[in-house]
Amino acid sequence: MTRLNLVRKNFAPLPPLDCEMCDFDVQMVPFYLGALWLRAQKYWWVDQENAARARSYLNEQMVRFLMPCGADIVAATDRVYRLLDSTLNGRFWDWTGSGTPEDPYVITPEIPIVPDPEYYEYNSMHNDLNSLMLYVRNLVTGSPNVLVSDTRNIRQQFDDILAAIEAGGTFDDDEIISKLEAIILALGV
Amino acid sequence: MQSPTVAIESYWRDVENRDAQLTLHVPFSHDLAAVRSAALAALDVVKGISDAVLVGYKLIWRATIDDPPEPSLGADLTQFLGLFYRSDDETTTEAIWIPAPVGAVFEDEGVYTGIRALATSPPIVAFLAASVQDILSTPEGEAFPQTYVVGGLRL
Repeated sequence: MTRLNLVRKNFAPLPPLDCEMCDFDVQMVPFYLGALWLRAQKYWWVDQENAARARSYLNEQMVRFLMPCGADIVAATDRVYRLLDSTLNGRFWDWTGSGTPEDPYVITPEIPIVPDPEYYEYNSMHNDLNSLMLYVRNLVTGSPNVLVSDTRNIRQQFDDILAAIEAGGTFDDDEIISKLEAIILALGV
Repeated sequence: MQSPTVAIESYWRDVENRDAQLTLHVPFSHDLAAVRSAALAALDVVKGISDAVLVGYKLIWRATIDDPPEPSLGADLTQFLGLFYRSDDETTTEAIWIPAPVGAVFEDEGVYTGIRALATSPPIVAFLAASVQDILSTPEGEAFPQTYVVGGLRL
């Protein structure tokens, strides 16, 4: 009697295995798991050692359907966002959990859908740059602002120095005057 | 009800490569090694009165639950929950397949709703707290992997 043999016994691949990313339909995951589970049965494999290796590979593949690396990439992107937000805006991030499935990380606050352009803390690059701009604007225009009340501007101060030197005659050294003029010229005042 | 005996399901082969099965019984004992010794002794006796050769045997002990309750309305044995574990060196991934999982063990929001196990759900927490990985082994007799990874629905 000839038996119909539908099972071809295989050798499981040996490590290292190459990895590629692919997309899949999440709603199909229970069926993917069903298909992989069937193939993980020992009668598909030439011996116990190969069956154990194949079962582990296929189980791992099932894990990847349930924990796709896309989530890891999104998590990495979120970490970069939080790094930039902390550096630029000084936002403080807090968290609970240990990062395990039983005790996942819960990070607060949530990343906003749209960043608030007005938000920054005192200890931030955003605030430092803002302060620097206020100082520079005051220095150049003499307009007072929340940080500086001095109404003098640097152009006027240089002009006053030059006028004082020329009018007062206290400094008649042409070399000093020419250097001051060179400085003023270099500054574009 | 617990069976008072352990069945010895033995397999025999003749010169034409045909197979036959013989089932014997020995008294139940909590000492599995003692049961196995008794089974082998019984099979040795059979060898003396049979020209066939023994090619394998299986020890079977059965217990049935007296008057089990009615299954709940949602009980569906076409569904399984896989709980995946990795070995500490992350070279081996094993799974425990639990039949007819309750709906409360699955995520209830997001794209994996009803598909992926919610590790913080009370039934999963209780299962993990029972430290099953400390008392189970793989089919190859290795210690069961220790790190729970994820769970999911199999259809």
